[in-house]
Amino acid sequence: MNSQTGKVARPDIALRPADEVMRLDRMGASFPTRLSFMRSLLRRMHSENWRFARTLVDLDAQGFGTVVLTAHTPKRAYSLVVFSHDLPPEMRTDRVIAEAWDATFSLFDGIPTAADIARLAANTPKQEAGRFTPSELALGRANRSLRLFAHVTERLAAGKQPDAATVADVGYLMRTTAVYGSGKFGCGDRAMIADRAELRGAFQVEMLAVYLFRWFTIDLIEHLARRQGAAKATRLSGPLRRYLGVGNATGLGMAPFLGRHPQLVHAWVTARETALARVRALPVATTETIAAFRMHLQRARQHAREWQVDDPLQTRRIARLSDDLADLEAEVARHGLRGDRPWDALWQHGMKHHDTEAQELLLSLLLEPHGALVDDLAETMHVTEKLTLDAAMPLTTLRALIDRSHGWAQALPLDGPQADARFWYYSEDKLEPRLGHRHAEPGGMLEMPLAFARDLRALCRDIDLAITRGSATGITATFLMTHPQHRHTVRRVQSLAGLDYAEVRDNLVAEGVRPIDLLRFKLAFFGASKFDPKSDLWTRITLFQGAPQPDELADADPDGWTFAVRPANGA
Amino acid sequence: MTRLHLSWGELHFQVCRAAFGTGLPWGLAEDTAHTAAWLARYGIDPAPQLARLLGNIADGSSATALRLMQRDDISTLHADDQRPLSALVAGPSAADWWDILADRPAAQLKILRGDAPGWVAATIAQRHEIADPNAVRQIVDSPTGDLLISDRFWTTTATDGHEMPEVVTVAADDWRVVRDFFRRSLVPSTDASRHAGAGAGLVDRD
Repeated sequence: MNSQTGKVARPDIALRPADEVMRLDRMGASFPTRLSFMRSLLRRMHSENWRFARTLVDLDAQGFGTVVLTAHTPKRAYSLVVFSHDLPPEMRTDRVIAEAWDATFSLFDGIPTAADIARLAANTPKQEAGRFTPSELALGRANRSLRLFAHVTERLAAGKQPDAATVADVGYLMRTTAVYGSGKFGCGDRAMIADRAELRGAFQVEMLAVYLFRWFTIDLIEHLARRQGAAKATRLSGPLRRYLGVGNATGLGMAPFLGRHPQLVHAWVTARETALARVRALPVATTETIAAFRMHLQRARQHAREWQVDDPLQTRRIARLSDDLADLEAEVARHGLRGDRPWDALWQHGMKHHDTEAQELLLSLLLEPHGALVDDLAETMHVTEKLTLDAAMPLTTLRALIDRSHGWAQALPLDGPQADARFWYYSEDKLEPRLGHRHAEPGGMLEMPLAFARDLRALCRDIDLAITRGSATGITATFLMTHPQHRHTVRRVQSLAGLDYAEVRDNLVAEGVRPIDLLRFKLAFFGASKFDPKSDLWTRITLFQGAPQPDELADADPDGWTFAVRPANGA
Repeated sequence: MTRLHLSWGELHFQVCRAAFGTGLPWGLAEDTAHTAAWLARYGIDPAPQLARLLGNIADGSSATALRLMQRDDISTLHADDQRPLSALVAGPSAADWWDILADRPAAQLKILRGDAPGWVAATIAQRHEIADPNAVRQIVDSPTGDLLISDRFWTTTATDGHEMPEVVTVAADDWRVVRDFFRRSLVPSTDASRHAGAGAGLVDRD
């Protein structure tokens, strides 16, 4: 152990098993942690003293026009080029198939020239129908919140602050409906920027784009208030500026990503689970960490009280979460986090007495006071991905490998029409990812390869037959010559052996599968909060809620914004 | 000839799904995308061959079932019938088998009557991380024929340090054909799937 940080390189508390962590019901209870990608980005911005500039502001009285916001890192600059549009209300939709938006934006690598801006003006508003170059690193769009935008504008124009409860009810002025990165529509590929320290981490490009866009939303509404209220207009108060995040509507597109990037998922979960194990292995709790934990716990309780959703299931879960957090606070008061391994004792209490949501929130709370112990793990959350095939592997070895590494898949119930009732696909409608009913809709033959458990069972059956029949050489290469339909699954099995957190350990095509669980899992790694499920297929969330704005980042605590709570009226 | 610039992500996504759209299994579709990327990396436009090879599978003019024969140090891959053997199927199998033969100096691998020997060679090179585009370039335009792979096939010095181009450049006409196959991997939209398949409403008032 390092005496300065208490860091245990390999904690003697085992990481939680994948059979527990990678099940949909637990993944669907995930919370952001200090290892989440937004948190890493804010820490880097702060520690490297990034500067931010309004490179261009050209908005008319209605707030339509062009804005360029630039982040200056120690070595490079990145600019968000935003186009603000007039959008008729009937064209406002969160769906991928939308054709127009209130705002569209590109994250530009550097500072754009007038010619660059003109080129982007002809393409960014078209989104998927536009063409982009490697200079653009991300592409996105957003719509105003009709519930909040007008209220805030009117209040600021009248020289008043918006009503805090109304602000809290929504949490954002604008909501992104897609943020594309890594090579989409001609944008720069991740491989081209992966050696840049500031963008090496997962989704740092997209997070930076959203962070700058959040700044734009505040600038836009203050611009409109000034135009409407002239000298009477006022600016948003500091607490409200921080409290307002960026909304996001997330649908099925997140799910295939998890299937396509199993090695990355393994890295993310391993980092989080290692962090938890390190904290649980600490022999004692210091006065400072206890105080910090209590502060975060109280804030999380308030955050949960303010977490209002329409979804009946999530409403019940939040109510139970509030009860569990009250019990957690009582437990801390009872035992004072004294004795041997106090954090582990608290964890065990949560595992014994609390529901899944509270358990996963406790994980997040346990990490909060222990930045020096766990923050280095954020650097392990990106990998160079490659799935390889071992063609020389004997079939008997392959079969044993499946039993050893993927027994979980074979244990799932896979018989009957309900076991493969659903299928995931790309629609011809702007490639919108959708989930179909296999036995009632066409297109099942074109499904994405997300039915891993089902495919593995078919593979095992054919391997067993080949072994029984004494296949010519009994190796993977010859087996795949006659069974090419298994090539994808074999490569996956061989490449992911030993990467316990790589696969979702559930049947993703079963009747009753809830894609929302996959979305929340991934969004929590982003750092999203206020999950607001709108159905089993999509959710709204808030990004960067509570985070310091660019103009206050230098003097702010880059980690002091988790579990944002609503400011008091007049704050 | 009109040329298009693609990102590497676009190349991989669309080629993989174009191959899947012609009926190839996912695993072979993934290998098709890897080979296309290997060719592009070394400045060889994959689109013309790809358009032809996908068409060969779609219209049934190339065989997708193969057989392996072994005699002494010579292994032979050939089609299961009289048609030329599809390179999109033969390539991955040849690369697999070269895994097993590669450390035997006298070993030879023959691929008989393939519909694109250059594509098969590129698939082997990609899989074994052989940075020798010249060996492939010499045969890449051979429309059909036999291919003999031995340790002497790879003749030039590895081009270590070769930088990946920032974008992929493809012939527009050929890429249009690939895109047509890509569209075959998409599920036609229905009123039901448009309204309920992705969850969110079509108009929102949030």
